[in-house]
Amino acid sequence: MLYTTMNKLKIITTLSLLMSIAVFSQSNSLSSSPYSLYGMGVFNTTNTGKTTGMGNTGIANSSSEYINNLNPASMATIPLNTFFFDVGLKSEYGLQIDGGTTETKIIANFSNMAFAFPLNKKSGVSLTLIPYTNVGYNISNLENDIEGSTNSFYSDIDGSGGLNDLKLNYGYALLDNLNIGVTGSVLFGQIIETEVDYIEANILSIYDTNSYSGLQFGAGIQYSPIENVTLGTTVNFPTTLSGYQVRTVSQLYDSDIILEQDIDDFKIPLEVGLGVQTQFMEQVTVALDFNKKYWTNTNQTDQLGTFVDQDIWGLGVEFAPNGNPLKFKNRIQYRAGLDYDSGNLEINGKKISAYTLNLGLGIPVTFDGLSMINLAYSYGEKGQIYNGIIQENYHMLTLNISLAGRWFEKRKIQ
Amino acid sequence: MNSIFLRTLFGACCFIMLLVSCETDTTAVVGEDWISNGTKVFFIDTFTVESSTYKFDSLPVSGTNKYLLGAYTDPVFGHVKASTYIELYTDNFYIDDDAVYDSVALLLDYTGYYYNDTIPKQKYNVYQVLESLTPPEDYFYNTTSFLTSTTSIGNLEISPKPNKSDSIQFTLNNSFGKQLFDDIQDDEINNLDELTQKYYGIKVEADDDNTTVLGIGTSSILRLYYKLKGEVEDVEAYYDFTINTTNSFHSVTEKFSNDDLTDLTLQSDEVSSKQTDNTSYIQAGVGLATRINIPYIESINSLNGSGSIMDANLKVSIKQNSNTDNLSVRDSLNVYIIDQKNEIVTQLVDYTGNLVYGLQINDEFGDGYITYNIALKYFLDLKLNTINSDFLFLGIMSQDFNESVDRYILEGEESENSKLKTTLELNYALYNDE
Repeated sequence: MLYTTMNKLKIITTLSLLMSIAVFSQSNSLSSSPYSLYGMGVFNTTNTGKTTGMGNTGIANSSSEYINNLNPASMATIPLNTFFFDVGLKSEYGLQIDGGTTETKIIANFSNMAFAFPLNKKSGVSLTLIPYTNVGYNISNLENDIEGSTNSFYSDIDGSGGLNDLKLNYGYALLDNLNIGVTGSVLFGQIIETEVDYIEANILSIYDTNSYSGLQFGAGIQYSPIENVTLGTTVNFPTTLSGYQVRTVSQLYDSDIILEQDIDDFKIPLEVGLGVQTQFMEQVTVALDFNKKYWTNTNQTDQLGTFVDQDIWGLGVEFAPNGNPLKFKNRIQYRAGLDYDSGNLEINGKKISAYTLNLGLGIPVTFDGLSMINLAYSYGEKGQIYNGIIQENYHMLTLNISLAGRWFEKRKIQ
Repeated sequence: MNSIFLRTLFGACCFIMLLVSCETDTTAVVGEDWISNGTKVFFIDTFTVESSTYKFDSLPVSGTNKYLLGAYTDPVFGHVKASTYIELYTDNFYIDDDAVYDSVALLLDYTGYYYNDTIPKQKYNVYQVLESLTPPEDYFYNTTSFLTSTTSIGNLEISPKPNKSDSIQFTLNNSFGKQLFDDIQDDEINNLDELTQKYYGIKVEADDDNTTVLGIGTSSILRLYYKLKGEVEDVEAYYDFTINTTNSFHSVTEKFSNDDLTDLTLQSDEVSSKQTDNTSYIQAGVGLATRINIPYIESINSLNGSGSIMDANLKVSIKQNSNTDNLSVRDSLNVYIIDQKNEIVTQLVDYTGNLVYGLQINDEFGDGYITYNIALKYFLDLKLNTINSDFLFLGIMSQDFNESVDRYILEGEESENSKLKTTLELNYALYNDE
């Protein structure tokens, strides 16, 4: 009797999970940044579980307590009979300063969905759906000259959408202290740009749907030379996203014109990551990650600037009191992180770098401490007020509901 | 434990579904310098426009709202004369046997319309029509005429007062009136057929003097006055005939003094404004109209990339000092699509199906220029999308083209005054440059 109820629940849950993924794939605006005008948009930094609160570190972290999406090798550490599920929500409040102008924007949306489970003692897999890039900008009343006259026309332009990353990670424990993993991503999505031009008595609207898709592969290693110290490395191989545009041009009265064309491919560079993680006194975990993306080799430019090599540093600290586990407060985890991103964009010879400060909390929802609500607050600064560059300050709240369930385990007492 | 997990998971999924709508965006000007609008808009006023004058063979004039009557000699065009043919109508064929005929009068209503000078006196004559007033084809035309008696049955010499509400009163011959009275009273005429077979109608005609052309109301009447014997004294009464509008019309004849216009014999004939001192003409009533050709609009497609005409306006101006208080112009012109034989295809419309007129532009600089603006986006799109687009032209006519004699003298495309010359102005948006 209990089992049939359980099955029903599982079916319903699976269905609603699928529906959520379908909705998720529609890519609502997840960015409020004018920097998302550039390339494929702003690269997503939030991730599963406690990653965001830890300064986006995780190359050397295990997946024994949550889904660590940053290194496929960590999948080997998923405990047996455990099923992880993770869903992330995000809200961003952005403040953009451009010379004398200041603008604010708020967006809220969900930001990832993932599950992971072990295949056997030595290996595990995870499947995540996570934004890869986010586009969200909206520029109104842009004045343009009508060539050949002194008149102007006005445009409203906005962009939305972004690319998604459907990522399959596989990790395998080669030795007790050496895990290896491979990863494969399907990158796909649509960047939608709407331009509405008010030209004299007429209105011209141009609705572009730019679809991109591509595959990316990578690998990772995690190695513990001594107890409580883990080293990790990842590599993501370069790939090319092919683009296709459907442009619908409509006027106030005339019938629509639909133009379909291939657009320039977008090249994703080689990415190499290194990480180290260590634990002190069974209470404090420290992680340091370094990522380098070789954008310069892609030889890509955009109307804004040029793509250049990007260095990303992340530092994360977690404090877990580890006192009497019967007391709730002893099971709360406290996190802090710091990020520095040199930026992949050079405007007028200046790189657009960014800093982020993260503070996080892990609140257990079940007694075993595996199911957690991970909250993170991030404050970031991007760019600086300098010669046509926009400084963007943002506050971001992320909520990850990270759930763990025991599967295939018979109850000892029915 | 499992069920808690799954329930929480289920709840989380539901929560996500709800959150999808949870998004707000505000407007940003920040980043304005970053975005380069992909659309380019060009203002172009250099497309060739060719204007010319043509003349209708004949204008249908059946069912007009008024009848033209009068004559004037235009200093530019020449002589114009309009005559009104009226068929009588009544649905009452009874006059008391004791009634005694008194007199007969034709009461023509003013409509407020007049053209040229109403001050000089004009002589009008009334004649009996000697043929049945039936249209020669489907319609009466401005060129249609019918045989009339050579002697007038009444005349009047007046200075018309078209803005007054009373009517022009002609006293007609009693021999005509008495006969008509007797025929009704003696039951010689008992129905409309018998009336129109004996009395075909009347024609009112002005002398050729240079005065005015009036509009006559369709409510005009022919009135028989009679007396009835009363107990104390005689009672005066009258019997009215109204106008059978189906078989009444006006004819308009012209005698051009302008050499530019005398050569126009066929409707397909035209005279270019380049040959007529950069002038094109419109004259209602007689059927002179201005034709506009935009011969090379297709070359807009030779701009690299895909684009569309956003809006287009043809500017047509009145030749300066060609209009006066007496020879007035109105604030709008009618515009038609015509073919290569200058036959009307349809009246010009816009994308919403509303009629497009040439609308007078405000004289913003106060220099006394009168310019009409014709919205041409629909026409140009049609021309660009039609295979035989070389056969699409515009015909510009005045308001009430078949029931007025208003005339317009327009500047051509090569006029010396660049503010007045006929010009096509358009905005073209290029949204996919190659």
